[in-house]
Amino acid sequence: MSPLSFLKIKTLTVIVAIVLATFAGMTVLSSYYINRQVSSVGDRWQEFREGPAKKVAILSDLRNALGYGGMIHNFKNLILRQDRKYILKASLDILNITALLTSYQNIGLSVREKAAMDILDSRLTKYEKAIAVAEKMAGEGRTSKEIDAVVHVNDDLAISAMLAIVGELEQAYADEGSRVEQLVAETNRTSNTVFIASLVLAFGSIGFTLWFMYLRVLAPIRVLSESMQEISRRNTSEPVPGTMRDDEIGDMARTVEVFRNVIVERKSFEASLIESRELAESSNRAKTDFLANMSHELRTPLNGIIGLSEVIREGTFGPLENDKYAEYINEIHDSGSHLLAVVQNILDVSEIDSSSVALKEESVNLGSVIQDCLRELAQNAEARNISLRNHADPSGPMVHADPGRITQIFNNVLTNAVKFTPDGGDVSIDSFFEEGGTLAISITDTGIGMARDAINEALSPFGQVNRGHFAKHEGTGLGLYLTRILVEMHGGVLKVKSAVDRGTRVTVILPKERIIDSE
Amino acid sequence: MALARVLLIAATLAMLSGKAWALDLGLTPSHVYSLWTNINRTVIECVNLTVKDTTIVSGVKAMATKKFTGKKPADVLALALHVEGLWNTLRIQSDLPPTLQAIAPESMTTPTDVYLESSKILASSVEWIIGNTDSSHLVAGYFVRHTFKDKTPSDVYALVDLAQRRMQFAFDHSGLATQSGEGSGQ
Repeated sequence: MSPLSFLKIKTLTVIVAIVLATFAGMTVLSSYYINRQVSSVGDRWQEFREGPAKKVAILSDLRNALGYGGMIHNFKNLILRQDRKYILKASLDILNITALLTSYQNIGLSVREKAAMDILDSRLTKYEKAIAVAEKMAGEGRTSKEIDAVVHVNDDLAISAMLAIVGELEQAYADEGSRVEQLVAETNRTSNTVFIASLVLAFGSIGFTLWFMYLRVLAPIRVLSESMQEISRRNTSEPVPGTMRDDEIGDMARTVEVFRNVIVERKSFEASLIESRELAESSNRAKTDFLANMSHELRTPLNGIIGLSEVIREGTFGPLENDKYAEYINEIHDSGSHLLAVVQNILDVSEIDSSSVALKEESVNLGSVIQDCLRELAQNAEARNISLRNHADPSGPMVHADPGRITQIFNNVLTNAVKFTPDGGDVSIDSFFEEGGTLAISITDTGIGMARDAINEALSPFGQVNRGHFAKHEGTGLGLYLTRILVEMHGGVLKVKSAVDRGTRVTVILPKERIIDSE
Repeated sequence: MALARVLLIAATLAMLSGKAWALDLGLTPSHVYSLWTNINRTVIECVNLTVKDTTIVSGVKAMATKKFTGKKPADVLALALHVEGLWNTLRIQSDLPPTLQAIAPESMTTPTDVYLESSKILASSVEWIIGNTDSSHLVAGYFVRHTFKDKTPSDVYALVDLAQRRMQFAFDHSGLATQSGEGSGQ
C-alpha cells in the first residue's frame, strides 16, 4: 500500500496545485521583499545624497568662502591695503557664508555640528564688526599694524569648528556606509535564502509530483495495462490489480474486472461447447465407424446374393422351369443391386464425414465420361421410351479431376434424371463455357421436379424429398448430397433449378483452373 | 572683481538649490528682508550723494512701505530686477559695468533665488557708492546682518517696492539718470 493511498488522485492533484501555487506566491513575495530592500537601499542613497553628500558640497564652498581668496583673505587685504573694495568683497563673502551656513543648518544638525555652527556664526559676527572698525580706522589714517592690533580675530575656534564638522561628516559617511552595507548584506542574505528556499521548494514540488505520479498513477496504470493485455489474450488466471483502491484507478480496475468476468464466463461457456462438440464428434465417429463396418459386413453377403442370382438368372446350371422363379430371381438380383448401391452411398458419405476421401487427380476427358454414363443408362431409357440427347462435345474438354469421382457425379445426376422422368420424357445434356472461363455441364429432364423449398433438403444427406411424391422411386436420398460434396471437392458448384411436374435442371460448374487448355 | 566672486558663489548655491537636489537651501524671506533693508539704506545714500535738493532727499527719506498681501517670491524677484535695472542706469553713468540678471522669475522661484539676486544688487549699489565717495565714507555698515523673523514675501515686496519708489522719485524729481534703462538684461 502506498503511504498516499488514502488520497484520491483528484485530491492529490489539488494538493500539488496548492504547493505549486504556494511556491509561486513565495516567489512573488520574495521578489517583492527584495525589491523593497533594493528600494530601501535606493532611498538610503537618496537620503545620503540629500544629507551628508550635500553637506560636503556646502562645506567645500564654505572653505572657499572662508579661506584663501575668501572672507578672511579679503579681510587681511583690507587691513594691509586699506582699500575699500576689500570691504565689499569681505562683506559679500560674509553674506554668502551666512547663506551657506543656513543651508547647512536646514539639512539638519547634530549636537556637535550645532555647536560648531554657533562658533562659526559668532566668528562671522566678529569679522563683521572687525570690518567696520578696520574701515573706520583706515579712514582715520591709522596704520595697518595699528588696525591689526585692534581688529585681530582669533581663527583657532573657527578652524576647530570646521574640523569638528569635517569629523562629523566623516562619521556620518562611515555610519551611512555601514548602514547601506548592512542593508545590502541583509538583502543578499535574504535573496540567497529565498533563492535556496525556492530551489528546494521547486525541486521538492517537482520531485513530489513525479514520485506521486509514478507511485499512484503511472505504476498502477502500467500494472493495470499489463492485466488488460493478459485479459485480451484470454488469460484470466490472475485477478485484476487495484480493484480495492478508492480512487479513479480503482474505478478503472473494477471496470476491467467486469470485462475479465465476462471473459471467464465466456471461456466456461466455450469449454462446455467444446465438450459438447467433442461428444458429438465422438458419437458421429462411432456412427461412421458403425456404418462403415456395417456396410462392409453387408456388401459381402450382398455380393454373394447378386452373384448367385445372376448364375440362376443366366441358367448356368440349367433353365428355370417356372416363369415365376425367373421373375423372382430378377427381383432378387435388382433388389440386391439396389441394396449394394445404397450401401456404397452410405460408405461414401461415411468416408466424406470422416474426411478420409482424397481426390486422385489426373487428366480426364469429360465428354468421354458423359458418353460412358449415358451408355450405362441407355437400355433403361430406351425401355421407358426416354429420349437421351447429348449436346456436349463427346471429345472433350479435358479437365483435372478424379476420374472415379467425376464419373460418380455425372452417373448420379443422369441416373436421377432418368429415374424421375416419366416414360416418354426427355433428358438432355449441354456443355458450355460461362463468362469468366468456368465450365458448365447441365442435365435437363422433364421429370416430376421439386418445389423451391425442397431443393436444399434434397442437397442434404438423407434428404430425398417428399417421400410420398417419390414413393415409387427407390433411393437413399444420399445421391444428390454426395454429388454436391464431390463437385465442391473439385472446387466447383452444383446448381439445381426445378419446377414441380415440369422438370429439373442440374448444372455442374467446374472452375477455370480445372480446365486443361487444349492448345 | 567682487561681482565675479559673487556670481561664482551664486552659481554654486543655484546648483545646490537646483531640482537635482529637490531641496530648497532654506533661505527665508527674513534673510531677504535683511538685504533689502540695507539696499534701502544704499538708495537713500545714493540720493544724498546725487541730489542737491534737500526737499527731494527729505521726500525720499520720508517715504514709507506700503501694505502688500499674497505676493510670491517670483513677484519679489520681478520687482527686484526692476530695481537692479535702475541701479544699472546709475552704474553706467558712473562708468561701472551693468550687472547681469542671471535669473528670471518663474513659478518655481524660491526665497533663495531672490536672496542671491538681492545680494548681487546690494553689492552693486555699495560698489556704486564706493565709486562715488572717498575713503572717509564708511560702507561696511551696509552689510550688517539684521536678524528678522517670520517675514513674508509680501513684507519683502513692500521693501523692494519702497526702494523702487525712492529711486524712481529721485529720478523723476531731480533729473537724475536722464537716460533711463534697466541694465543689459540677461
